[in-house]
Amino acid sequence: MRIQELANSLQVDSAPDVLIRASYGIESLAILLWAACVLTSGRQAIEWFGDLSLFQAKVIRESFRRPFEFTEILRQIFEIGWRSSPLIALAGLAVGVVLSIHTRSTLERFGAESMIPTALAFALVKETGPLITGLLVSGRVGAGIGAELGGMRVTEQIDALESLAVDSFKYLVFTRVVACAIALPLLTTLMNFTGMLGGFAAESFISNTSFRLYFTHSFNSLAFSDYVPPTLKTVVFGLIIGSTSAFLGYNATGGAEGVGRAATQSVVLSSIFLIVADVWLVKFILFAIPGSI
Amino acid sequence: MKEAGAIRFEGVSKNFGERKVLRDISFTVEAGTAFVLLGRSGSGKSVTLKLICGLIKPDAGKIQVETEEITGLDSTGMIPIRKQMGFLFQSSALFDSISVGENVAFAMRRHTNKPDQEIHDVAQKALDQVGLGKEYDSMPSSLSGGMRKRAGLARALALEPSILLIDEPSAGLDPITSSEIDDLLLTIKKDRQATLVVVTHNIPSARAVGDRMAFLDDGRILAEGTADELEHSEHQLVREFLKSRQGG
Repeated sequence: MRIQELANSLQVDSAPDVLIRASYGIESLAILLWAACVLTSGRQAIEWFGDLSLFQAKVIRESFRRPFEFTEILRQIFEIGWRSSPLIALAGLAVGVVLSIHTRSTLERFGAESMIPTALAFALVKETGPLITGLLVSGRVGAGIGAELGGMRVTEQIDALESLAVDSFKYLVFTRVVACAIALPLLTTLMNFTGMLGGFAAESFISNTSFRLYFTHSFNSLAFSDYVPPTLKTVVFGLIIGSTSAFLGYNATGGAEGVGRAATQSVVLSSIFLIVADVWLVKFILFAIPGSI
Repeated sequence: MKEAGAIRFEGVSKNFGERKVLRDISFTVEAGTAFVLLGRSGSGKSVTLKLICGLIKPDAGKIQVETEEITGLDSTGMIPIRKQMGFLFQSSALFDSISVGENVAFAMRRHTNKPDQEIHDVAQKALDQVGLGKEYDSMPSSLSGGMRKRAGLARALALEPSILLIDEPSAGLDPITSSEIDDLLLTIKKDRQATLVVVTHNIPSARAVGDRMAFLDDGRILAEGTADELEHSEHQLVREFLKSRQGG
């Protein structure tokens, strides 16, 4: 049985509809959260979003102005990307194992166990890998950027940087946002790969599948066009995580309490924005590249 | 053409929300002189230093540094002016993720093409000057408050600035070290013809370093002049301040 047959049995029109219908649920929830936020805080919330948008626009503007701070960007890619890789790899393995177990229990009902590697590869590459990577990085890196910049702000280190004739926005904010945007697709690829490894580990334990057979099944059905758009959308996730957490940290006030608040809000808001953006990006990719998801 | 190194405030006001921190203040610091800002806590002294460095913008009035009107300059426009300045913050504000030596070397690495060894040597010399020669590789978190202050001063001196902004140089220091810092500031003023703006509560230190002083109260300049002129000010608060703090 193919995925399309599985989709039919679930009474949806096509395989992508499964994902689309799931996305409608998330989208509705996100819109409700958003509306609640705006209604409760009113003008303050609108001002906050305005400030965040100006901050993000400044990041984009800075990308066309010298100095480009390549050394600091590389250092941040190491901090954000390389140091996150153990977490992503471990999470990928666990997700792969769990997805494999769930997929097996479902596909077994239809006698489609041979589809497990394919289904797992599709699930990981198209949505699970990018989204989980984004959320994990939002937790680890978002909190880190929020706390680090917040700490620097309240201890006057950002003022000190400015007094040393260094553009603190360029040096601290721009470099971190760019590093996040570069690191996310790389980490997503790592998550996809380790997820498949986890899936293979679970499968080989249960059914003694060979490595070669498992990965042949996984990659045979996957086209390059299945991999590129979902992975590239994590560039946007990186921009969201970097700019939101940097905005909160860079503008932190109120001493240690303010730093803690910036760190917490960085994680919460980055995650919410990331999920909302994911819904829109999936729709956009479906519109721009029909059949890619 | 204005004299190089001069700092000029003309009718400068600054509010933070409802709070009026500076109210229409005007003063001039001549090039190569030391100007001391005195006053009670919260009177706007540190804000004045940050205005000179362009870290905050005034709500009204004009600020001129050297020949440049800085009031309308953004962060990028301030960069060439800040290269001529050194700023010692009240909290020292050392970068806590790099060593003390790298804090001092930071500006040189950014703004000069000197080889690594030369930058290291200059940073080492600056640390030697403030008595922290052995702390090059120490992290800021391992230093005492007074040591951090001295490291902050070494960082401010690294680029050999023509204008030095010093916020509470003797806070947290013992009298001997405080006196050594005063001597160092005097040497900088004399040898480099640097312009100094110093915020302090330490009257002996202010007398030792300052050519002229201004007393700020509630965002206004109550009195301005030499130490002797301030001692005979018409304002009782100024006279009492100088008298009560004679011992530092």
